[in-house]
Amino acid sequence: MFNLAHNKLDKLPIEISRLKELHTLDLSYNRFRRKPKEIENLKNIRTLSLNDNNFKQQISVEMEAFNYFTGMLPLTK
Amino acid sequence: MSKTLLNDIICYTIFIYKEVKGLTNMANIDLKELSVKELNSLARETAKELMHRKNQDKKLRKEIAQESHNNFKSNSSDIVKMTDTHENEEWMNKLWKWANDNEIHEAYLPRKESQLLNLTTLDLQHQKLTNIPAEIGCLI
Repeated sequence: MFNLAHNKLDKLPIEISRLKELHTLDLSYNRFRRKPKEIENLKNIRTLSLNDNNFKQQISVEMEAFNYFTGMLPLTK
Repeated sequence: MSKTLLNDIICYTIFIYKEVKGLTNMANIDLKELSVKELNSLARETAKELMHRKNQDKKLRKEIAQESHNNFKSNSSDIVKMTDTHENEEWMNKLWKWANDNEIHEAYLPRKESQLLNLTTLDLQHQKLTNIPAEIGCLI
């Protein structure tokens, strides 16, 4: 489990994709403007929180498909 | 069996016997004085000695090979260990420096190697972080 909530992050290092066993990632209450591409290779992620960031658009169809295929829980926002 | 062939076999047997026994005082053996029984005995003893030598050589070769293998394994293990330790030190030091710069308490990010390597949960919420270092990817 990796909790990075309530920080000032707007990007993640690509090396985070090496955490193959990571199943929970909380990135809520940060400054992300888009879905971090770096998390796409985290195949074991089951819970991802991205609420309360600086997304300008609604969650894209791509993100919904990503959630569907990885079996992640629905985003809270 | 012809007498010539039999004689050759006997000569060869004695030659081998002398060789394996390292004997030199058999040069004057008169084959004609040896009975068939004695020749058979000589042949059996020679064969036995040859087999013993062969097994000894085999055992010795096996021991040498095993020792070489163990040495190689040990040296390789040491090298891998040294390399791993060196690599661990490098990324851990960078991670700890980042943690210190961001005033992350060791309760949230352990400063001990063993604890860091066994970390399964990392709770860094409310730390005012603006970046995450690449070394975070080294955590398991």
